[in-house]
Amino acid sequence: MGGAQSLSFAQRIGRGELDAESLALAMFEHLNACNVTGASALVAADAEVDFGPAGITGSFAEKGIPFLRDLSTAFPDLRVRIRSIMGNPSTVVAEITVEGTQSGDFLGIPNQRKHIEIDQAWVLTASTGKITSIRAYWCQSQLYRRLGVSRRDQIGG
Amino acid sequence: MTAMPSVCGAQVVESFLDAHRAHDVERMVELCDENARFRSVPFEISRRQRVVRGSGHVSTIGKLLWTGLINAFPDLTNEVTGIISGKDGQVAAEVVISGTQAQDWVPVRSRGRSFRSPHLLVFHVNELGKIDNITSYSDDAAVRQQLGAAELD
Repeated sequence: MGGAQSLSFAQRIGRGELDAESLALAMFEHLNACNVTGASALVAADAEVDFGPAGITGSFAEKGIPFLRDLSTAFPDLRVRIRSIMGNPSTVVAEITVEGTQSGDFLGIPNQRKHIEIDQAWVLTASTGKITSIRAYWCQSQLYRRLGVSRRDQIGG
Repeated sequence: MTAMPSVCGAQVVESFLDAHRAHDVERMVELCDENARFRSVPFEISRRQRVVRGSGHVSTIGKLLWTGLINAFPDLTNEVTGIISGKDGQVAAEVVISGTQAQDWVPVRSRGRSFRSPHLLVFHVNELGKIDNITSYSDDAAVRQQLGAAELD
């Protein structure tokens, strides 16, 4: 037990010892630092991601990493504030608030340098020390509203 | 330290969702503490000087929103895709809510279209087995689009 406590975070990742909550907290910490590479290291490449409101679903490698890159590029001051986290060792639900100021186009939404503060909830599952799925829930209407979009035809491809 | 609920929180939540499926709003309210809080995260209506949000009590805003939705979508139903239990009465439910519009649902005019909307509902069940907090997350933009509304607001 003492040995396990003295292991570094990286060693625990390597041994697959982290539970869903530890992995989720670590991922949000990386996102706060706009460190998509660090966040990605916690997720299995074939993890299923469902960022439904953005119309993005698929494997983490193909869909999740580009989404997180786009997010951190468009909002360089991105902050993920954790309001609550609950669940069990294999599945957690994190209620978060995503904040930032738009500095580039995002999901086809032109940059108007608006600030967002969007309450979301992410469901993350984990197995053998990696995140194996992410499902995110938020309201895209709120995102549009905060970013100054009122009609669908204002959104680019 | 918070006392563990005497009733399994997940069972209470399942009963709540069963009642929703049966359009039994009174039963939904009965399963909640009389001071239970309810928040529909996507619910926002812009007024002249302020924004009205879907945050308040189960007995007021919750009941009002659930009744309005059932009236506008008479075949409203839910499909539970996952229940996640945590400690001390925390329960989350992933649910797909669907229905066909038969009446205007402010501000979306009825065009007779259907919607399917994934929801995440985060509950807290107290030590008496009553739900005392519900937070509902979903994407209002996708619902409006499925119902044929061009405007985002």
